[in-house]
Amino acid sequence: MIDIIESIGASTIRMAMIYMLAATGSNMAEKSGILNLTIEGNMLVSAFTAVVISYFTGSPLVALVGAIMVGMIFGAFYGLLVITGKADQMISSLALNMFAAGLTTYMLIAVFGSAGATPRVAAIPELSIPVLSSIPIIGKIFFVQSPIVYAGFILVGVAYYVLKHTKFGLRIITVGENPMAASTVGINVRRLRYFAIIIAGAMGGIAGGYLSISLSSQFVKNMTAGRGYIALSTVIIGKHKPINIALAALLFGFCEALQIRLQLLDVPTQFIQIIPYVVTVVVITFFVGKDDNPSAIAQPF
Amino acid sequence: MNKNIIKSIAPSVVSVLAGLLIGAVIILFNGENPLSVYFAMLVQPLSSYKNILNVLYVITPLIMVGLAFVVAINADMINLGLEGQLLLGGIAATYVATLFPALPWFIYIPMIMFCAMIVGALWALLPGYLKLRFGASEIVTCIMLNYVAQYMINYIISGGLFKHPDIAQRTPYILDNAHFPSLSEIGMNHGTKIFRGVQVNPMFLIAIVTVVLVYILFTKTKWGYKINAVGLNIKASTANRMHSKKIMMLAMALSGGIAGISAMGEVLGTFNGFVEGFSPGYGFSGISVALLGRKHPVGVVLAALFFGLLNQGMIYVGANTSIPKDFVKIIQTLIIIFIMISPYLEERWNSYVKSRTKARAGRLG
Amino acid sequence: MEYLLELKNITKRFGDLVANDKISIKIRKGSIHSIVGENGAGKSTLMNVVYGLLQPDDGEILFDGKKVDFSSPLEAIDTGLGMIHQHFMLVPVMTVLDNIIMGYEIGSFKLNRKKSKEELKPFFKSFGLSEDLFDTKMADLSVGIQQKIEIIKALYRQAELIIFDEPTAVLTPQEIKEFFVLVRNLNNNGKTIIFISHKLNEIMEISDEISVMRNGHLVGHVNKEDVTQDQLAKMMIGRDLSEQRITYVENNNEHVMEVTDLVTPVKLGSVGLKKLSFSVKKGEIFGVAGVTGNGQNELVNILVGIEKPLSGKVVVEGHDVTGVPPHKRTDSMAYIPEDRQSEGLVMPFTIRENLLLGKVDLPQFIHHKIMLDFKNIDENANNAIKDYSIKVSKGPSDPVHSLSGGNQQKVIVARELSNDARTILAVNPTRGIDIGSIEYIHSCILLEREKGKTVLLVSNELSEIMALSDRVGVIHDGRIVKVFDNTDRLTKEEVGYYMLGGKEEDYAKEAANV
Repeated sequence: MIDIIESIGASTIRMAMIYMLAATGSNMAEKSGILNLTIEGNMLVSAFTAVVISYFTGSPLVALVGAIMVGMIFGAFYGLLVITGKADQMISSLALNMFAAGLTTYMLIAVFGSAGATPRVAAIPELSIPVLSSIPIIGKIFFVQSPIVYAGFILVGVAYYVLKHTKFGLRIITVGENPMAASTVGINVRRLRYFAIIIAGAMGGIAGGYLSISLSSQFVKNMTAGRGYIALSTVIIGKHKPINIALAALLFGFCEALQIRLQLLDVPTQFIQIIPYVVTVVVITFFVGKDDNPSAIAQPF
Repeated sequence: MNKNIIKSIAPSVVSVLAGLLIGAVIILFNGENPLSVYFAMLVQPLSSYKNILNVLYVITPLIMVGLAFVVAINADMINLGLEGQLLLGGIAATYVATLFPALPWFIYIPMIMFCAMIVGALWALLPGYLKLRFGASEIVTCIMLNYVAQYMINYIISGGLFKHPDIAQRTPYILDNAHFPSLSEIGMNHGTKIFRGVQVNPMFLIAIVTVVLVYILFTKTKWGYKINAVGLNIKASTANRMHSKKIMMLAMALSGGIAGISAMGEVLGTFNGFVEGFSPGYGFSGISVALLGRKHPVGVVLAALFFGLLNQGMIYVGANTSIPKDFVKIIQTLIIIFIMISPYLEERWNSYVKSRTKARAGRLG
Repeated sequence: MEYLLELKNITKRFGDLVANDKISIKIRKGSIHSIVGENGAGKSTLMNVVYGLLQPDDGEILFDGKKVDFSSPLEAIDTGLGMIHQHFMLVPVMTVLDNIIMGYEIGSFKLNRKKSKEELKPFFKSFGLSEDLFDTKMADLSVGIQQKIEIIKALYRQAELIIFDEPTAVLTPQEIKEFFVLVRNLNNNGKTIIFISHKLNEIMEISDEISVMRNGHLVGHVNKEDVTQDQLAKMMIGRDLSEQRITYVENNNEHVMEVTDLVTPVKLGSVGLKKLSFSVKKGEIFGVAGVTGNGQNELVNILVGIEKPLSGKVVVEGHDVTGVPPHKRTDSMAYIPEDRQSEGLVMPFTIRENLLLGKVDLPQFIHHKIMLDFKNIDENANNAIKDYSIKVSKGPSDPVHSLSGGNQQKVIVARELSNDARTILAVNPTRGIDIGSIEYIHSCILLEREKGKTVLLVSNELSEIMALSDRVGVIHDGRIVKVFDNTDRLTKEEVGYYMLGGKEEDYAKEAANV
């Protein structure tokens, strides 16, 4: 019994971190007024980059750094389209996601000659925190995880702090709510938004790297499988607040952990699988008012 | 009049060229010759009558989803749920197509398609209703419902509805009287082999008919007028006593209905049932085709032709070069990206021209 | 330096429109200088140029004797300018403190809110604001307090010259009194004030010097002592239409439109209706006169049905239409909107298509139940073009965006004044169009009256009201404050007096003074 709790708990954290990382970063961009649906593509290119670099360097650490950098470039490119180019943010996001899917599959064949998956590469091992991991139950759940998980929790705290207590955070919020007001006191709206989307790209990069070289040790075609959109859901359900987003991510991580267990019972897995999507629709219909989005979201400045 | 047409086509043409150009760079990186690759992609699919007919098969679903997107966008509704509507329409059609072995095909097939349309329309009305009544973003709801649809279908196929799955990841075969015969089959049945291997089936004709109907809808009917009016200026329409919300819902329903039957050619024809994963992302292709086609029915056909050629052409490219077929996706999205930023590029071009003429005038003056 | 700010030949164009035409103004240090003019005179544009939000096409600006060229508001702020916009530059969901410090924070990374609060305490004290407000959400505060915060924002950034753009537009009378006290205090403390407004009574009360703008030009500059409110008004309005007046006819008909006690909330950008009532008799032209921003928008939206009042009732042609959405309306009221491009026309549509707006279900335009009858539609369009002298380049298939403003308005008029409508609501029907079209549309309206139709005319052009109305109601601060039943000997001055906030009790005194 305790085994099951520990196992499900650990899985929950493990899976939730994908969403937590990506969503926390994306939230920055959205707070600054950019509609960000590119999480899916962002994670995908970063995941691939991590595997490629790990393959050629043998160092998962360098691979992770590479994934982050590629994520930042991806974010910057999206920014170029929608901030400077003022392109429609929704369609551009979808196009970029498609582009990422096509590009990674293409590169999969070009670099590895495989249509399905890369070979296994060096991955980031789990790190068991001494002392803390010996605590009954909680130890196994929280403190035997990939180092990225620990970093992730810290990043959530950082995000919370930045938005509430720093100059940068205050300006991001202002720019997302009333860019005109911000520009009348001299804030450079566009530059700030670029910062925000690049941060989102970086965090998406961590999420992608986590997916391919921590949770796994290879890249499989289209391995994000819609998780980017679930991350988007957590942003919405969390009403653009870092702590709530993290909680929503845990909820969906739990769903994913449960899914595997429940396959052993008779409940059709698809009913569990659709939970994140249905919950999002319900929340966005009944619980998310117009006030929960930054007021100036998706409007070019 | 001609100047206007050129002005509206220009962004598409330029975007296509830009996309192909960047694609050429990628091809070069791969060590291949762009010209031969593009020749294989764009010309070879048209090189024999059989190939041309197969192109028609490939573009059929593209035309339909493109039209579906256009109908919705004319009412300023962004139907991102085309994929889900298409899939659910397909599965509904499959189910109905296994029920009545005794019906003659000219009653059965319209009945099946009608069911598919209803299912698609309902799946589109859901996000539409949630948006108009509760203000829920149709962007998010559509995307979510696409995934819900996929999982629902997965469940249905694995034993939820079809009690005895014959083969993994597909439904049992549909009844014979619900089948769209391909041109190849029709030929064989009449003792000729000239169409052997050609997959195009009557769905292509239905697609063309839909193009005509959509064209008539928007140019000659009062409903098309209302949809256009609401899509272009909802404030003026509402102030002039038009029931804007109802009109927008109608547009979504029509859009979903068209999406619902978009895959009939595959479901009732080639695969004789619903095969999981048969859709290579028609949902997004619908958007691409509609945007490249400047949201005009004829444009949709031309854009579908272009993208269809690219897709079909990849068979020849794949056979002769090392370029994998996802290359098409890359080109496709690049073209869309260029279309998206074309207003910005146009503005930059205009001010560049302006400053050049000013400078020239300055030098002369 | 005697002059803190000097504008020399400032010119600003938007395409073909010259919003500011060689404007030269000198602002004396330590003075309260008002810039007055009608809506569209170019006042706000000029101030946006000064503040660095817009770049002038020509001219130069001197601040304290030195030439300045602000490419962004940040530079203007650093130089010592502050601007309180008509629409506050505040973020409703953020706290008061955050709104003030935003862009001017203490600390290079971490926010030092504590220190900012310390620095702001004296400001709050002198404005009579409690320190509890620091952490209150902006949205929870009254407009008067929000404005004080905006002022503190500017002062905190050490503004020496403060520009107020239509500051009293959304204040209650009490708040306006407090505001003037505040402005005088600022002035007494050495601040130079620029005051933009069209409210002449307020201008007369507060200003030292006044510059008058009209249609992008500077038409006058006076000292307050040397001018009367009346003279100012003449300088401001200027335009003299042929003073056509309709002959007053006694009308004892029943009421065809009754508006009773309409109430809407006061919020950012709206004075709110405060139990507004009036009624319109059958066959008359009732003019609602008033300066923009006194509740006209709210009234019109309720009459059209796109907004619901908090309380009150509207009856049109015997139908209770309070809160009834337009598509459910059963009366025949036609609507000529103020903003033709956003509310009256679908700009990409052709003339013939625009003439169908809202009428596409009529049997004469349809055959076989859903197909458009192009023969009749074209005939209808050709008739409209002929009857209303709409100047076209090819015909009914011209897109309306290619027509001039006056011709666009004629399309709307042609559509709305069809035979079905028995009541007509016209809102600023001749806004921004050429003189010829204005005269034409006025004659159309008068013609409708001849046909026995009823017209409710809402306009901020006093000459238009005077030329067309049988009876006149004045709207001010969300109420009809005065109704003139006999317009025979009505003067512009008398109506204007009430438009600008005058009270009935004081009118006799004013009249005696002139």
